[in-house]
Amino acid sequence: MPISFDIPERFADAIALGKAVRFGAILKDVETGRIVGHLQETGALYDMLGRLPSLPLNPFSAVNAVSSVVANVQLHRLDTKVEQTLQLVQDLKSMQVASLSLAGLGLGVSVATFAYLKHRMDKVELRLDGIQAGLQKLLDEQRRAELERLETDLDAQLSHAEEAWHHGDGGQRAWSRVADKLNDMVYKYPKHIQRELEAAPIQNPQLLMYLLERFRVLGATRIECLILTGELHTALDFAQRFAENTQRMLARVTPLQFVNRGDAHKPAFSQALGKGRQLATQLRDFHDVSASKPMLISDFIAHRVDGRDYIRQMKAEKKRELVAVSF
Amino acid sequence: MANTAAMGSLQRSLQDWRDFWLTEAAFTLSRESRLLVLDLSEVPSSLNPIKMFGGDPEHDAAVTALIDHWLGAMQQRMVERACHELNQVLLSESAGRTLTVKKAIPQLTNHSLADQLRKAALSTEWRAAVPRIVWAANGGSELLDQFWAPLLDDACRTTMEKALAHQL
Repeated sequence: MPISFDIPERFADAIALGKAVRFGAILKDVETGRIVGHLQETGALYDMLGRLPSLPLNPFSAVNAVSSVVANVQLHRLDTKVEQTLQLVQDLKSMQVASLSLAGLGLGVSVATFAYLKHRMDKVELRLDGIQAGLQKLLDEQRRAELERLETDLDAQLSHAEEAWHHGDGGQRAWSRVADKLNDMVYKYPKHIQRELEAAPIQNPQLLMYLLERFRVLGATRIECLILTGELHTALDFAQRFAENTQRMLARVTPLQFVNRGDAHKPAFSQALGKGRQLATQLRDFHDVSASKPMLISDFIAHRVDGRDYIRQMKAEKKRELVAVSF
Repeated sequence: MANTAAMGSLQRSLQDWRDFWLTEAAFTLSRESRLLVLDLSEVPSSLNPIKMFGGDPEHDAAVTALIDHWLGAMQQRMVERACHELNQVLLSESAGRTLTVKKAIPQLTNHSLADQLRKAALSTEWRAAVPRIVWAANGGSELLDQFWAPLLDDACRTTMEKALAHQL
């Protein structure tokens, strides 16, 4: 089944006219609800990111531009999503796209090399020990030890997955093992995430975002390994469960959870509300992309797409950082 | 899957709508609470001698009028605007088809908290009692937690139920 790879410009008119909207990593026809394309990152994106002098390191934590709530009367997605998508179309090489791609989103299936993910994880600012200085009171010894063990294990599995490309069997056995191992690990993060979300107000958004980033990398890597081994139905099932898990954890989060309501008399309160809303938006984006991933895998199955070829083709794409895939 | 995409998109728009109006309410109520206390402190006591016997009808009438005016303003600035915007969200998500919220716009003025606020404003401890309902120094707000947040949640839930029934 031939797959059409198109640059997102093709959809610009439809988006501008309000006929198509983006939800997570899909573009859908507003009237019919039909999926008209899947946004997919490519190897060119990671080449570009490698050339940029600096990157937003923790994809979830780049919340600097805060503004007054009252100054932004229309901030919700109804008004911004078209603009965001157009921006995405028009400004592919900007940092905004770099941020979007790294913003814990992983548009489409992951085509970042395992080595790249490992390299990013090794950045001290993204490691648990890099953010621990301010967390001494928040993490007890047992919890810290568990998170450190998970981090070490994930690091090792990414190394195994990268090495598998050079194995005599094409990596099948190694990727299968990595996928199994990651499955054991991935469900250990939600309890930590839940614990952070239950605090009122949330004590340390940085720790929460760290946990979500690790959860995302684990999920995306397992899905990639399953696709590489041709286990599309397992990948679909896992992607659906991952999305459900994310939904359960994040659906009830509100911006007010990031705010100390007792600080309302302070001048910075409106800024804190704005920041809270930005963080909530990032969590929603994370969920939306998780929710739209099963739709892409489902299309692989329906159209008999060879997942391994798909990933190879996307990794090999060197001209367009982001494409819209339609079947 | 197309239906899942449509529902996911609608759910996201509703969540964004709720997020916006929660933060808007937090900002508005925290500020309005202080202003309302200032306004109440400026309501003069009457010179009517009947107040010496435990009542001050002119003062009470002025306080009640002030609270009713304030509730009416909140009804317009928050409840009606939020409901209007929700309909715009639905119009956008359903491409002009007939998914609209036919529910009557909730009336803050008829809510039990409105009565409590009137009573609180007339009580001798009104300086503490009024902020407890609107927005207290510790961040507690009965209006936010018992009226506004449930109203937003209910609107999101019933809209999703309706959308599912219509297979939007």
